[in-house]
Amino acid sequence: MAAIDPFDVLIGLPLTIYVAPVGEAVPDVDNTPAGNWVDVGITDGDQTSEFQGDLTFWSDNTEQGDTVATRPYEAKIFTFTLVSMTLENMGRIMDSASDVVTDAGPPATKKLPLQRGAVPNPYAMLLKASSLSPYAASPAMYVIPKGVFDGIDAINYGQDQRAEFAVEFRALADKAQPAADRLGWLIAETT
Amino acid sequence: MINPLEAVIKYLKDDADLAVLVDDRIANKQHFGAKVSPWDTPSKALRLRMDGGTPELDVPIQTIRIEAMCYGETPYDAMEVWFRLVAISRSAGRKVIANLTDGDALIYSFNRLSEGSQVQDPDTDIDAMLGFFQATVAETAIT
Repeated sequence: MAAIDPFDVLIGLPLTIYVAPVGEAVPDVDNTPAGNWVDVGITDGDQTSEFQGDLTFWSDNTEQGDTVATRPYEAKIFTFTLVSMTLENMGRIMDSASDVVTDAGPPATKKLPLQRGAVPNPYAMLLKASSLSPYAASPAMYVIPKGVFDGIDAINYGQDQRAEFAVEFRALADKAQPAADRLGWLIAETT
Repeated sequence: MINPLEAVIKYLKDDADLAVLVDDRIANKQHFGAKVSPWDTPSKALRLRMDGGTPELDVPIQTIRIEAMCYGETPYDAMEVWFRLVAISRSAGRKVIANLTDGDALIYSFNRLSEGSQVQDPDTDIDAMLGFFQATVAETAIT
């Protein structure tokens, strides 16, 4: 068995997810996001960081195997399930946080329109945990400078159910970033 | 090799709110009626025992199942100790536990495997709350 440093292994680290308008300053990895960064709310245990982008392989008559591989396209997708179902939290994911309407009533109400609209709002996103670094018991975070909320799974209500909002966040290439960082980056504190 | 139960016991002994309830009465064996330094009978206390678990074969990590017996003067007091363990188990993130016999340990997680069951300890008849936890602890010491 190869030797490991116990810090290499990342177990038991649910991520806290923050969103802000695109262009918001990214906090240092060991600071709690503040300013316009908003916690999206409590999420169900599993959050997923997915790489997409199949390679295309090319061969020629000189070799038995493939000789060239290219990746014409790639995507970076995060999925999580929101269980804090305030209209503000739901509205933020549906791009309509500003459309939540408060009415003093009586009865006092808030209203969330259900239509998301033709053009999604892009957001910046941080996904972080206080001990996510593989080098020490220190913070690390994913920074996605620009992305949009994509598919939302059905919300199931029922006697034995919890209504949840499962959603995808898909990175868009942010041209304001250096080339390698356009779909986001992962930064970890090392001490 | 780090002793995972030693790491968990030290982790719980370092919790100030649990110490308010059980003082230093956290051990691998209950000490009610012991000949040396017995625990007050009855009192709030915590006994933790290793209870199997599914082994991790490829990575030097132990995922131990821990049987927690939370004692109390009354069923309510036993529940108080249990609920403090529940609160501790909600704290996510890895923890460094320093100065164990074999070095410093890294606890990855301490999660409940069950809700609690109210029981009476068969040896002492003290009211207790029985529950199970899984602790994931690195086998190698942190350098």
